[in-house]
Amino acid sequence: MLRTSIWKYSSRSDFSEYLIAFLAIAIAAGICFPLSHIIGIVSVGLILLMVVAVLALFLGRWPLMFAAILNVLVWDYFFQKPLFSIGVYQIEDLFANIADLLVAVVSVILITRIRKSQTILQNSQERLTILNNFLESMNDVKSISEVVQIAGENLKKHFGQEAVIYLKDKNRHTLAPALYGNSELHNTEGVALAGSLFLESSSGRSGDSKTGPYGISYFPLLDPRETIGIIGIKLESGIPSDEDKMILFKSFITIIASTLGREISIEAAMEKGLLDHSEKLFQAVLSSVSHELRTPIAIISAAVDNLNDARTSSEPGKRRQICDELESASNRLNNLVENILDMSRIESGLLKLNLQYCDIADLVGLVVKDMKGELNGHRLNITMPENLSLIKADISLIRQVLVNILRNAMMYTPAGTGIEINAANDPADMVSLIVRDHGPGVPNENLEHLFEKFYRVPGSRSGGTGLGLAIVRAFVEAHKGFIRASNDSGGGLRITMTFKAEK
Amino acid sequence: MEKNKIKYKVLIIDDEAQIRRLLRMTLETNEYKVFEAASAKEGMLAVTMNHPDVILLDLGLPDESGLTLLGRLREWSAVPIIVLTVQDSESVMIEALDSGADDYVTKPFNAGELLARIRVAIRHSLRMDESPVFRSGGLEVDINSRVTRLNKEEVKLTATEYSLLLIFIRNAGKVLTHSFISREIWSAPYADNAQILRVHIAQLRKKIENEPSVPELLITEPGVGYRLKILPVAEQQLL
Repeated sequence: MLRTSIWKYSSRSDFSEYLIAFLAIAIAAGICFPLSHIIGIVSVGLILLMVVAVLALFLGRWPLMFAAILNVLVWDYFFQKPLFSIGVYQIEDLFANIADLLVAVVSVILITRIRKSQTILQNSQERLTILNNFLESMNDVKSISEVVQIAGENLKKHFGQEAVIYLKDKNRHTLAPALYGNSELHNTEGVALAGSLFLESSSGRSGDSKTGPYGISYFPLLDPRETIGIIGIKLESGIPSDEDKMILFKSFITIIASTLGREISIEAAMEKGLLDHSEKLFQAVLSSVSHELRTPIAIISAAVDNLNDARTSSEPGKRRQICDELESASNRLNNLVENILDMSRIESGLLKLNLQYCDIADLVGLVVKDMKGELNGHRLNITMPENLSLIKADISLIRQVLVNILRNAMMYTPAGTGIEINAANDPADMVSLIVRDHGPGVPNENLEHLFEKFYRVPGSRSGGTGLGLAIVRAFVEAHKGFIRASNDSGGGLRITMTFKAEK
Repeated sequence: MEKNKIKYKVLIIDDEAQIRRLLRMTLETNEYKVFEAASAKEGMLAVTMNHPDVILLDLGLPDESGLTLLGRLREWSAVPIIVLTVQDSESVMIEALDSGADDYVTKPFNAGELLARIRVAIRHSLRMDESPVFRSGGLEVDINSRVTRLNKEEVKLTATEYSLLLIFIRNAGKVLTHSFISREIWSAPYADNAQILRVHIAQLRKKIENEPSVPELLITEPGVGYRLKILPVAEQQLL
């Protein structure tokens, strides 16, 4: 629709405009003919001139020229003496005819010129609107494929053209074979042409545009800094010859290029962000696991060195002590292996719950008995209500939860401080289990990260796998339970777990 | 065992109780007097109270980084410090050495190696090495007459090679970082001289090693620097 209204406005005069010009002059002459004795031929000439002026408002240039000439001929033939003849017999008629023709032609030229510049103004207004709409729609896009889709729609709408886009390979300086847009326009010759155009353009050699097979023209997409790709467009009638149309077309390509450039850098930044994150996680795993592996190995190796030294191992007391160290180091290694296995079960999604009725009070007693050897001077205070509801749980997992929480508490609180374990039917249809230590607690802003893998509270002591509390949360959540860490008002860290009670 | 032998005092600063207990056992068996500290704060206190002859310092301490403690100790104390850590990244080691550590041992460590390092550190701090003739393996350097011999045969060293060797002799048994060596010889950062240093070390090895491709005296500490080993003097070479 736009195409006809903008681009084909000019000098398109068909036969009907000539007919209109002819009829208008004929009617005016017909009306004036009987009156010419009364109003005089000068007035008739003026009336005919006025008709031409009125015609100039809506006819094209050449029908107007026709009208201007017809006007003089009619005046001469029907009104000037001798009547019904073309020819000048008096010198003043000659001047009158020339003046009439001149006035008619000049006014036609002036009027069409004004109309033309008006049309140009209107056109540029429309182009601006198109460009603006296109820019706005490009502003809203969220991905490269969306850019290509919207660009394609707009090219089709305003130019009736299909487009295909090839983008630069991120790592190598060649054109990636991946294409966007209309796949019907994709062909090997085109790709080869686009590739060579890309190389020319990115090396700074000309690289204007190239026309390939099937009437597809290829244009480089220039982001200010570099050539980011090539757009192939199937043009109905070759590259637009009209200058205005060409400018609009190039503006479209520039907008497409800069939007693509923007999207490409956003995607690159996001990828880099992801990479940085996984890099960090990998470093955390490495340093945490290597520290936790090497420390017990260092202990075992130091113990073996001492055993090998006859001066030490000949003393029974020292031998006994070395064996204790060996045992505890091997427990520590075993604990690490268990944690890693638990974590991989969680992450692989292979965690299956073997649900049984379970009495939390019993379980706490069992865990505490098993951990007697690791207590290292900590005092455990256990308070369990008589009528605690049962929960449905996987006993081995809940046991691991408790073990990890207690180990964590013992590791990060001074020896000799107390650790309290409480349970309650609170709220009524739930069972909550609370472990509270009397250590330094955790700064409030770090509490939310406590259950994250490999998270370490800044400034806390080294050691631990960085997996213990992450496993705790995963296991509790696998039971559809909740876990929360807070600082007790009386100091120390408080970990609260809630499970659904079974009636 | 000699009576009245001086017992050197070793301070262990490590938060792993087991490591402390086992190190104590090893060191006490080898006639050292042992003090322990489990944190940087306790360590600082123990240094001022017990005046250790050598400190074994773990880098991962609960209250502050071992590197920070190292820096604070070096502000007022020249006591030899051997860094003892599971962190085996070279950059951490270089940082520790450049912050004033005398040596480092990575966990798990070998007791014999650790004891050797402790001996070197104490000898240095007491300036027990200042003899005019340095001997290690088949190498003999007379510092007064500037004569270098390998297996009793004189070898000619260039001026740079000799000053390089002298730096190693003055710090015999200690690891020297690339940047330390570079500063000592050229008063310039290592980055400017990395290649040149490598060439000089290779030249020096050709002259002082029995088998330059498998060095025994001037050994590489990968990613950190070089160390001139103190080997038993090779008696069989006299024959």
